[in-house]
Amino acid sequence: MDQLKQKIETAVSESQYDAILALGVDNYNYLSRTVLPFAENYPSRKAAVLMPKEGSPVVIVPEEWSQAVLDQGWTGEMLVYDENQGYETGAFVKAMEELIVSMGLDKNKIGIDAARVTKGLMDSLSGKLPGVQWEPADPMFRDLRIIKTEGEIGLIERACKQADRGIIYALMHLDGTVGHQRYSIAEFAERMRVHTNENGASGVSLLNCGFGSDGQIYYTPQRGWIKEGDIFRMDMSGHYMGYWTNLGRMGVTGSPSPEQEDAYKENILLRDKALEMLKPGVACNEVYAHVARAAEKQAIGFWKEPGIGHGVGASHHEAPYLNLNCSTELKPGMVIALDIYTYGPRKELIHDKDLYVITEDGNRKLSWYMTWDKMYEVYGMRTTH
Amino acid sequence: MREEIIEKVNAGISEAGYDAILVFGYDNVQYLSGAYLHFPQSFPDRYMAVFWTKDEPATCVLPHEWESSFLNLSWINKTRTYNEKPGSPSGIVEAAVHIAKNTVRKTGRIGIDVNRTPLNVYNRLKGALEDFELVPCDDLLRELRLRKTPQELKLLDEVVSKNDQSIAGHAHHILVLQANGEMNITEGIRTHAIERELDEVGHQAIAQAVSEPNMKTWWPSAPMFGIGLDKKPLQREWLRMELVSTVNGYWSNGVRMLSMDDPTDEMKEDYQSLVTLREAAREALKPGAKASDVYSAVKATADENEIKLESKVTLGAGIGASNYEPPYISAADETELEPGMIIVFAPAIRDAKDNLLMAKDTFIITEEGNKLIGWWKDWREPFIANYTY
Repeated sequence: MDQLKQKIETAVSESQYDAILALGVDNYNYLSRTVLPFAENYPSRKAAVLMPKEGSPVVIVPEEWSQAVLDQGWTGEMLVYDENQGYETGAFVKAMEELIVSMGLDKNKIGIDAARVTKGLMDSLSGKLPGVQWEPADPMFRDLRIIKTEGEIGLIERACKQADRGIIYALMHLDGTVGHQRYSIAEFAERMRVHTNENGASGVSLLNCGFGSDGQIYYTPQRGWIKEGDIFRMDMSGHYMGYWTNLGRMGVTGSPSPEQEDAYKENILLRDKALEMLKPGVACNEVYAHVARAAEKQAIGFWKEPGIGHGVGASHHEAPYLNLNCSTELKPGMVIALDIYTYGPRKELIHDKDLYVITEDGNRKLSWYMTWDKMYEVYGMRTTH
Repeated sequence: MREEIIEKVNAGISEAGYDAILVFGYDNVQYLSGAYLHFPQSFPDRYMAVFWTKDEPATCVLPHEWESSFLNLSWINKTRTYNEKPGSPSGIVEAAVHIAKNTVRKTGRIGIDVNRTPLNVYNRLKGALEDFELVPCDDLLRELRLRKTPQELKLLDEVVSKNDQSIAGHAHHILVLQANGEMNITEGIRTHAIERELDEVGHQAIAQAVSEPNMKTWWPSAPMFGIGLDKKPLQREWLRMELVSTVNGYWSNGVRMLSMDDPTDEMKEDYQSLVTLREAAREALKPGAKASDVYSAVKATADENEIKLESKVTLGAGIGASNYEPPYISAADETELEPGMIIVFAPAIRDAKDNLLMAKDTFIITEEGNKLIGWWKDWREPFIANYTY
């Protein structure tokens, strides 16, 4: 990951800012190359990375998270703040004020991730540091993150393998149980998660299993029991050392009906159409339009509004976006989750969500562990599984 | 719960003089809508908001992909979806502006949760709603969420009780001379949680089992948080068992200590320190006291008894629609405690081997003082592992 470190340092040194301050959990992760424990669930607890043009970068973290950052090999400076020094973000702001003054940056231009910092926190920082010229640096973050280094791609590829193996191992538990030794949907979802972790993942976030009619919508709470004859969708995002995968897989309990098989084939057909366009020089909205035209020609209905994919990297959903509104041109090093929703016989949402890296010649699949050209068929009659 | 919260929110909006509130924080959206989607906070590039006009049905603004899931779970039955544009919040801003212009009088006062709203979203809204008065409404939301309704308390009691039972439920399976490794124990806690119909989805719905010597930190084996290492707890060692879980989006956060066999005198003494701190908190947690008073009382008890209490951290926080919210048992929180507030008291202390020992106990503030909820067993002593099943 030295390549990434160098890339970030070069971007900061060549930027118009005297320092960059990242407050978003994903941007923190990206710049520091360390992962915070579930930080997005603590809106009143803040951490940040300050990267000055000259001098060492500093992370500002609460005590509870500090050792975890050091244990991940953080070699820059660290400022640990005392949460008893201010209400909610007050202690963080106080620490930031002291830090920026001590670094002589209190009359300088600091780029900040305005798409992440809240209005309230920004007001507090501006109030304490009136001499600082705060400027949105979001385009810089976006441009940096959108093209991955080889090291980043390697981590994403590992995360894909971990997640696919996690899903498959969970499915193996399901084999032989449908119809007589009942499995709850919650337990099946948990098996996906635990097997993903066992395969080396450092975290699982989005987790959803939609069986039968529950699969008609994006997410339902994991309730009820698995029964025969259903198409089901398994969605999961997880990360390996802070780099994410975001996969969607399909299965069927019992032997699929011809209608179910045909429905899945339609999805694969559109996926293959999209893959023709996943290459350098093609704009994201052109990929979308190509799929839309193919769907129309083949009379295949697909869920248009969410688009057909997005970037993945230091978060599980990021730029670029394969939708009508995104004219970003695909370039080598971009990592795309291709995600086309079509419909099953009972209007179940069907997708086969894979990750691809754009290469000089086209694309390369990162989630290659299984082809998933067919739905996973869960059957068997063992009683001791 | 639906009626209680809707009535409370409507009253709050009227009393505070807002014509509407526009709320972006995932926790605030969940509180106002009743829809627990475990994932919005992990989509930093996607926005979701509730627009609640005074005396009118609220509307949720959200990406199309999430709409049906939201409607399936929420008591809000009006939605407005928007087209996502890369790197730009213009889609959600346009949708919110449309609602504002159609439901709020010109120059009306619209409250916004500025402590959750991204700066770029706020700036666009400010420009697009220049005919309106945009003002922070974080204090209103804080006040609404601080004091739980009877139904919220009932649900929290259920979650906290099941959480404790899940930890203890797996503790029964840990054998002194044949213990499994931390990863296996971690999964065992999760399984017991699922058996009790706790939700274990979401990026913070975690279990963690940590034994010596990994107990020296809050989050061992970073960044493999809440997964567990292969270390097996040994006889006369500590095992820290943690579980964070939800039911319908309401949280519990529990930690219990397990002693591998009868604890040694040193272990008993260390555990007694946690009990002493809990008793200090129990005495201090009452209506009229400030949260900072509780912090001071516990800190003073620790100092008097030479207990090595972790500094720089709070000694607990509220739970509800999030797992870490006001009031905070912190030197900096001047909140006056009132009946209906709920607090997880969470001290962390160091033993002679530098292990971090913890206990998390949940208290509801009552008219008379407080009520400790959720104990599966009497935690004046740790769970003591068995030799056989």
